[in-house]
Amino acid sequence: MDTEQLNAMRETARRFARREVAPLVGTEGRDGDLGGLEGVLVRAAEAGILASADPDGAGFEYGVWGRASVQEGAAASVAVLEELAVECAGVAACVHFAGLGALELVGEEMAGEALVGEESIGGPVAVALFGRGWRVSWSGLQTPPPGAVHLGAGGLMGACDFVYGAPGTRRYVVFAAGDHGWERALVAAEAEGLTTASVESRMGLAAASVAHLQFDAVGVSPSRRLASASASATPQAHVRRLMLGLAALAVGNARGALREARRYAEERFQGGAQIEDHPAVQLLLGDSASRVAAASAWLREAAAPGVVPDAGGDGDGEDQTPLWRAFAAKLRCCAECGRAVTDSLQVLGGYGYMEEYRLEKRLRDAMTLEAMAIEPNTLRLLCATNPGGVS
Amino acid sequence: MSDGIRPVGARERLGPLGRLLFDTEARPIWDHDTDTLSRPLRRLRHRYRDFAEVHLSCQGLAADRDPDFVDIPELFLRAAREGFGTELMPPPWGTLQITAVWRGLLLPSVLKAEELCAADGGLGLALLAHELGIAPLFVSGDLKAYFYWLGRIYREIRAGEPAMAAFAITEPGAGSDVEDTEGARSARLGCFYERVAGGFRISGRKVFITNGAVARWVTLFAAQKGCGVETWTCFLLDKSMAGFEVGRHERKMGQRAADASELILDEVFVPDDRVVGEVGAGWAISRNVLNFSRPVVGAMALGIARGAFEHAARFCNETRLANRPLSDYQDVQLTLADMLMKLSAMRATVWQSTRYRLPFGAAGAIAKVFCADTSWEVCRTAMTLLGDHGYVHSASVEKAARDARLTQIYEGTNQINRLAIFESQTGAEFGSDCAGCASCASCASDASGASGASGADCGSGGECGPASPVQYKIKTDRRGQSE
Ligand SMILES: Cc1cc2nc3c(=O)[nH]c(=O)nc-3n(C[C@H](O)[C@H](O)[C@H](O)COP(=O)(O)OP(=O)(O)OC[C@H]3O[C@@H](n4cnc5c(N)ncnc54)[C@H](O)[C@@H]3O)c2cc1C
Repeated sequence: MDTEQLNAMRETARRFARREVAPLVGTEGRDGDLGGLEGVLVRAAEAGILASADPDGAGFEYGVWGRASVQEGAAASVAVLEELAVECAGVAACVHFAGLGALELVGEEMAGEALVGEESIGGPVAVALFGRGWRVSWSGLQTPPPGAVHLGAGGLMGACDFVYGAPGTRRYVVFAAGDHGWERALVAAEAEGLTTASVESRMGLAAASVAHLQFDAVGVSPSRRLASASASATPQAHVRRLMLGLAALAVGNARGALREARRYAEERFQGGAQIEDHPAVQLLLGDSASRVAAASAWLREAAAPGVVPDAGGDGDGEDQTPLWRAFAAKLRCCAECGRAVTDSLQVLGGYGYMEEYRLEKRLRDAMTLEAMAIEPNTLRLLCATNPGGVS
Repeated sequence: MSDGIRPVGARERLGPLGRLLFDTEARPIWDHDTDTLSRPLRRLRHRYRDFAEVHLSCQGLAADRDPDFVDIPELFLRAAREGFGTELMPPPWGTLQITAVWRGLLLPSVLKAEELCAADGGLGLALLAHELGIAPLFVSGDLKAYFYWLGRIYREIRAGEPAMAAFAITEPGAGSDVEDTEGARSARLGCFYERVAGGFRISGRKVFITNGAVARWVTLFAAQKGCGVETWTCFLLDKSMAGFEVGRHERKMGQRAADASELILDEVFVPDDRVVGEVGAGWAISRNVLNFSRPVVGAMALGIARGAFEHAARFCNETRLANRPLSDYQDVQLTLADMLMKLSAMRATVWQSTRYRLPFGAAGAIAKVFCADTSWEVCRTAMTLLGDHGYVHSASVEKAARDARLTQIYEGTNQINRLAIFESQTGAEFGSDCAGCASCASCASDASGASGASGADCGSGGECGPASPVQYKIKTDRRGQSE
C-alpha cells in the first residue's frame, strides 16, 4: 500500500469517526451513548472499516486487520485505529479487537459462521491467548508455557483472563497448548464446559467487552481446530498486532485530548489573557504535542509497510524485530501519550476533571491502555532481550 | 548459612551494644514514623487510622459508584463524636489538644488527612472540606468570628447537628484568578455585594464548591459591585438565607463521594455581623487560608497514594504468576520499593511544612505540588503493577488514581502553586532583595496596578480605592519580562 492509499484510508476513517463516533461520545453520561454502539459497529463494517472474515464482507481485505494486513503489513490498520481513537478510544478498541478475531478466521471454512449444535451464529470473534498466571515471555510465545490453556483429547482445559472483544462477542479463537505446540480452536460462548464472566466496572475503554474464560473440558471437533501453519496465525503475530493496535489507540486518544486542550486554551480567559498566552499553559501544550509527535513517529516506524514483514517470527532464527518494535511501541506510546493526556487535562483546570468535557474519559482510557494486555514492567523485560538486533 | 548473611541473622553476631544499634525489625514505615511523634500525636494518629478503617474503607468503592450511597452528614457526625471536626477550639468548646499542636499547628490536620484519604479519597475530602470551610473564622484573626460564630457552629455539632461548612471562592469566570496575584489583578469576577441598611446584598454564582450541597455554613468571598479582588470580603452565610440556592452538582472523575456544587446567590441579604474579618480583607484571608490548607491537600495526596500502594502490595503478595507470588519478582520488588520511597518523601515534605512557626506560601505550595504530582505517579504505577486487574474498579487502585488526579487541580492548579512558590520566595531565593515595600519603584508600580482590578469605574466614589492592595509582590510578569 503506497502513501497515497494510506492517506486515503486515514481520511475515510477520520470522516467516519467524526460523523459516527463523535456524536456517540457526546457530552452526556460517563462514557457516552453506549446504546448506540452496536449500530456504529455495523456501519463501520458496512463502510469496510471493520474487518470481516467473510470474503464477501466490505472489510475483508482492507478493514482493520483485514486480510491485506498479512501481506502488506500493519500500517493501514494502525492508521485507521488511530483516527478512530481521536474521537473515542473505546469504539476504536472494539474495531481493533473484532478485527483481530476476524483475521484469525480468514481462510478458514467456517469464516462467516460458527456452530452451536447445528445453529449458525455470527457476530464478532475475540481472541484468547493469555492463560491465567502466565507472564508473557519470548519463549512462552514460541512454546506454550505452563499457564496456557491446554488442548488435549478431553478438549480445552484451563483459563484465560481479560479476553478483549467487541460487544456481542459470542465466539472465541483460543490459543492452546496442543500436541504440536501452539494450536488454535474456535469455540462458541455457549459451548458446554465454557464459563464466561464479563469484567464490568472498568476504568476506561467502556465500549469494549472484557471477559474471563474458564474452560472445563470444552469439546473441540476437528473442524473447529484451525490451521496452525501460517506465519500470520501465531501467538507472536497476534501479539504484535494487539500491541500495535493498542499503541495506535493511545496515540489517537492523545491527539484528541491535545486538540480539545488547544481549543479550550484559545477560549478560556484567566490571568488577564487567553490562557494559551501563559507560558504555564504553553509548557503543558508543548510537552503534550512533542510527546504525541514522538509517539506517532515511533508507531509509524513500528508498523511501517514494506520495511518489516508481518510476522512476529515464529521459529528459531527468524527475525523478531517486528515483534520487539511492537512491544516497544506499546510501552512508549502508552507512557508518552498517557502523559500527554494528563497534561492536556490540566490545561482545562477544574473543567478538565468534569465528565462533560471528556478529557477525564480520555485520561481513563489512556491509563487503561497503559495497564492492559502486557503491563509496562513485562514490556520492559521483553524489550531488554534484543532478538531483533536493535542496538 | 544464608541466615547469617541476612541483616536479622548477621545482627546476632554482634555484641549487646552493637545489637542495640542495629535495627533489623521488620516494621511498617508507618510505625517507624509514628514513633517520631509526641505521645499525644501518636495516639491521635492511631485513632484517625482506626476511625478511617472502620468507617471509610468499607464504603469507599460504593460511594464512588453512587455518591448518594453514603450519608455524608451522618458520617460527619460520627467523626464529630470522635472529636474529629471540632479541632480548632480547645475544650469545652472544641476538641483541640494543645499538647498535640505544640510542635506545629497543622500537624494533627495532616495526620488526619493522610489517614482518612488512605482509606478513601472521596469520603476523606467530604470530611476535610468542612475544615476548609471554617478556616477563615480562625485565620482571619477576628475574635468575634472565632468565639461567636465558630463557637456556635461547634455548639451545633456537639448538639448532634450536622453543621458542616464549605469554602467558596471559585467563580465561573475566575478559577486561578482568585488563587493567584497576577490573575487577581484582572479577574473577571461575577459575585458582588452591595451595601444596604444593616448589611449587604450579595448576588452571583460560585462553582465547584466541595460540600456545597451538604454544608449548612458557607464562607463565601464577594467583591464590591463593579470592583476587583482588592474589595473582596469574606462572609459567613447559611443555607437558610433567602435567595441562597444550590445549583448543579458536577459529575467528576474521582473523589466522587464529596459533592462539588454550584452556589447561586440572588440578592441574598447578609447582616453586618456575618462579615469575617474586615470589609475588604477577603483577599488576605483567602490567601492565608490557602497557606494553611495546602499542606493538608499534600497530606490528602499522600494518603491516596498510600492507599494505592497498600492495595498494590497486597495484590503482589497474594497473586501468583508462573507459580511464584508477584512480589518474588525482582522488577516488582523494585517498583514497590520505588513507591514506598516516594511515600516517605511525600510524608517528609508534608510534615516538614507543618514545622514552621506559621504556614507560609512556599511551604504550603511545595507540599501540595510535590505530593499531588508524586501521588499521581504512585497511583499510576500501582495500576500498571496490577496489569489488567489495575483498571478494574473492585481492585481500588484505578479509583485511587482518579482521586489523586484532583489534588493537582484544586486549591490552585499545580502550575499556579508553582508560581506561588516563586512569588513567596521573591526577595529571598528569587529576584530582587526587596520583599515588598512602599518606596522602591517596582513595588510602588506593583501597588498601583493592584487597585481597581476590573479597570472600570465602580461608582463607589473611591471606596474600593487603595483600601487593601493585593499583598503579594512579584517583580516579573509571567512572560518573564520585568514590569
Ligand atoms: C472537584 C473540585 C472541587 C473544588 N472545590 C472547591 C471548593 O471547595 N471551593 C472553591 O472555592 N473552589 C473549589 N474548586 C475550584 C478549584 O480551586 C479550581 O478549579 C482551580 O483553582 C482552577 O481553576 P479553574 O478550574 O477555573 O481553571 P483555570 O483557572 O481556568 O485554569 C485553566 C488552566 O490555565 C492555567 N492558568 C490559569 N491562569 C493562569 C495564569 N495566570 N498563569 C498561568 N497559568 C494559568 C491553569 O494552571 C490551568 O492549567 C474545586 C475544583 C474542583 C475540580
